[in-house]
Amino acid sequence: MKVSIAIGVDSVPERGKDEGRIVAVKPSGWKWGTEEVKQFLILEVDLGSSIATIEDAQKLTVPHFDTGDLWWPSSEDKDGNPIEPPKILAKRRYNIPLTDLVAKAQVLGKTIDLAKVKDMTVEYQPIKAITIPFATMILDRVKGTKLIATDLVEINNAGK
Amino acid sequence: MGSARKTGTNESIHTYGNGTRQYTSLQTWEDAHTVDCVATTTSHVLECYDDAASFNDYVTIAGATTNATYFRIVRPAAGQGHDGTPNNGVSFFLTTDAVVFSLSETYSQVQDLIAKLTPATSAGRNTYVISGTLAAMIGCIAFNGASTGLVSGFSMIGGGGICVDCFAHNNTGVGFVTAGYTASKDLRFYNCIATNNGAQGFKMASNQATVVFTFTNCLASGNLANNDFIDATSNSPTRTVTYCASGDATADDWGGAGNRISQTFTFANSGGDDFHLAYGDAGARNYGTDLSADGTYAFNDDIDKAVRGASWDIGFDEYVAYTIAADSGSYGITGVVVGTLADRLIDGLAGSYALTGITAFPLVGRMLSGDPGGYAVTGFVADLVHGGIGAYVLTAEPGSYLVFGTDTGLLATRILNANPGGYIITGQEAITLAQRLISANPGTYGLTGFDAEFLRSTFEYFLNAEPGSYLIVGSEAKSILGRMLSANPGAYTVTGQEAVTIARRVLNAGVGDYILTGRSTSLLANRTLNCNNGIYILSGSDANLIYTGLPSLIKYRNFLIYKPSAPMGRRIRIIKLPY
Repeated sequence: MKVSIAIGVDSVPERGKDEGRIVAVKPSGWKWGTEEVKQFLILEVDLGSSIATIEDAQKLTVPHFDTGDLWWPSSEDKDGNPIEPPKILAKRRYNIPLTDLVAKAQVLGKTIDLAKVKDMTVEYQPIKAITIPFATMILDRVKGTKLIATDLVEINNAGK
Repeated sequence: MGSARKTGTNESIHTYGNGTRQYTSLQTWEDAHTVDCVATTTSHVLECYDDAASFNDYVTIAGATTNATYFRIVRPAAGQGHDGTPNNGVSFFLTTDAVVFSLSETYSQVQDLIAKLTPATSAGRNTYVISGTLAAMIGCIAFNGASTGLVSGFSMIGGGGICVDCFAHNNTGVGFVTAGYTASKDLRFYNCIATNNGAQGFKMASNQATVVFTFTNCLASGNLANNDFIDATSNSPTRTVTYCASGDATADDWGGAGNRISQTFTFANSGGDDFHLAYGDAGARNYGTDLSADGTYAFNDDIDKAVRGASWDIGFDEYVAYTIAADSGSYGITGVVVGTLADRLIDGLAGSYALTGITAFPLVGRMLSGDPGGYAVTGFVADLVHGGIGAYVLTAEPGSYLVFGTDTGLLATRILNANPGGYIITGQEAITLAQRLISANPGTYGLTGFDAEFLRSTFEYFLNAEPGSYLIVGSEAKSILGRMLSANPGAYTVTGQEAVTIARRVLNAGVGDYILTGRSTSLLANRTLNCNNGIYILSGSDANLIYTGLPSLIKYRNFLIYKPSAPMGRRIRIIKLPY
């Protein structure tokens, strides 16, 4: 399925924010807000057929947990008592490295000016009109590898 | 002390809603403002607009540096908040298996939002989670949460947060569940309500002896049987439950002052998810304790931001009848919550009220029973009104009434039988009303529309009996005027093709000055000049006939005749003027 993704363009390690982190995932064609289009780079990404619903696609926004969980674990135990969530090491587990994105865009006939991308005071969305295939683009900071189809299947099934 | 809703110092406000706002995703705002609020001396606020029936969105607020002065807030924009029910306001209906609002940041707050969590599958999830120290959910609502696993309303864990004026209703899991897994933490619930949840209403769980649970002014009813307030702790933490009320016998299981068990609560409209306390409630009204000087979290208002009275009520709502009772005047009341408000208004108040909407019925019932004043009743509620009152109601109330709609007939009948005054009556039921009106009440009437047809039949009474001024237009004026002019001296403005007949009557009977226009004035003039002394100004096509026929017409009377169209020197004819 195709989705619209907002990725962070700044890097603030002390706040757990990595450049290229997948901050939000919305349905394809989403009309983002007037500040969002300045502060984030908006991508249309094709996740293939491994993920079929927006609810499962949003698991790409999972934090980097100390437990390595692929999604928020259940909030309650078998007796209905609350469970403390795992510790968050970084705001997001998955990101799309901007340098990789520049290269991919170039292949697809689009040029990305990274200096403009990182200027969060102006709207600059150079690739909103094209669709980026997910393969070789999404980095799992826990595994240190790019996601492949089987990873997406695993993400899709997380928590089910 | 003040509102439970804290405001930050140096608030930097951004907007949330559809694509015309600054943010369409809670996560993007949260990410962009995960900063050091203290170092930058800024409180970041996201104000949500009710741009959609609901937003399918969620967020974990974590990672900013905050303190009691500079923190983050998510709240509705002014005028966008809910009405104390899940039915109106900024709503987040989430289908993703996630917590809608997770607040793990010290001092930050989520205020006055509505959330429903319904993922297709879930092993167990909470709609709201509070885990930051003195992080707070204020005035929030969690309702109808459901999935394959249990969905609870509010969960408080870890850090020692607070929940004030919140409402958990009809979730498959627990209404409010709290767990103290960290030593020496205080977990507080003030003035919250849990109703109709599939599991417990309020549940404590802990394995720490030094944790303190505090439940004050909380109300639980209709949850899992005998589970309104439940203890699942170990190691005997401190459980302070005071001034709480339950439908079952659990609110006093830990001792504590002011607890009330086995209570029956009366809510404004529980079937419509409106759990404000009703006028007649005897289970929670005035049985709470004043938290305006609370040492941890002092506040003085309820879920509607209404300032609480001298005697606090248990639960999120403070019944405010006394505030309104002191206030006479005019009120415009609309929407589904008018029932409760109406109860308050009507408890003793004279004044004018405009009531609309489907819940106006209870209000009208009360209104008509006891309160003098002017009322405008619109819509199909009028049907209930006229069905729900007795004749004595209206006979006791003089005043002015505006009655609209198809059901006004019977209501109007009652009003008009008993109350003299001025009425504006429209719609097809005006017939019945008019009949009554005209038979009994002298006064001034404006009659228009197709109902004049029926009115005509009533004018025998109307015109024969009632002196006054009348403005009559339309094709049916003929018969009306026939009656009118024979019996009532006075001033009349008559227009249209019926002027002929009218004129005959006028001139036969009335003494006075007349200005006559239109093609039928000849007949009128004949009559006039035969019978009546006076001054006449004649114009129109028939005036010439009158003018030239004057010598034969004028035999016995004294006249001054002015004809503007006659040649100079012949425009005025004075015949036997006595003066």
